[in-house]
Amino acid sequence: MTEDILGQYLNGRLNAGEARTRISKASASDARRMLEIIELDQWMASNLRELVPPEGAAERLYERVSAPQLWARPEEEAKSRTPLLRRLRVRYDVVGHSKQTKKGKKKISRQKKKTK
Amino acid sequence: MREWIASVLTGHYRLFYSIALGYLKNASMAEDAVQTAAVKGLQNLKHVKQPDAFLGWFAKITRNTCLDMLRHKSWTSEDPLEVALEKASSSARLTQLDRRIDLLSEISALPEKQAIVVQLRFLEDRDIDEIAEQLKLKRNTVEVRLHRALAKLAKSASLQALRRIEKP
Repeated sequence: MTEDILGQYLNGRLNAGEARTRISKASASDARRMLEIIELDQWMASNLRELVPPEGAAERLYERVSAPQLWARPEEEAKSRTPLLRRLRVRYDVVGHSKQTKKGKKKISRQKKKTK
Repeated sequence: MREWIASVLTGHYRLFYSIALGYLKNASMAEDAVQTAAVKGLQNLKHVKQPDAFLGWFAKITRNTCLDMLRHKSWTSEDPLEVALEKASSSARLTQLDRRIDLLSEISALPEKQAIVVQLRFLEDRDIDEIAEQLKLKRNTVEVRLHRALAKLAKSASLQALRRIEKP
């Protein structure tokens, strides 16, 4: 029964006061544990309600995410580099420049032939 | 696409920032972590199979980014002795922010599936139905996870200590 009450409280169908009254009426052995959970829930809500990120942080993230260079395709960028730079990027594991497999190379050359 | 992602990330910024703060316990590092996670996320967008799962997926990236940062802890300039002294004397003068950070790190220590439910409940003020909708889970699953998480947190010794400090 107390489990039901807790479920209803967590679902927002009972407020803390109502849940407390019902649990105390039930007086089951685990009623204390339920009350503890309700109290903790309320304490956490009140503590975290006013947590605010640094001012302007969300806007800074928006700018960062909207930056056009983040959306540039690494393959296109890699094509514009010299072969040596391309090899170095693979060797030093630059993100988006993984080593091409034989299969991958064949696929690309097939596609090139098709476009010709 | 770009607009959509930017708006999702900024719309849920408080959630991602709090996840990072729980791990890194430092406001500016948490902000950096979310930015790094955003860049990582954009580079791996192809792995997102359903747009609905984006929130949970990005929360996971934020968490992993923080764990990476903790693993390569070169960014911290703190002297270990100073940290130990600080810790020893801190319990008496815990600020509200310290308390919140401790609470966030307790939440982060929960199993991932339970942590995200708790984070959505307290940081985004979602009820169980909304959490279920957001994470594409059954309502019952969310309820069970939340219940288990709260029961675990209620038993946590450090949370009990934090609550005792608050009550004079």
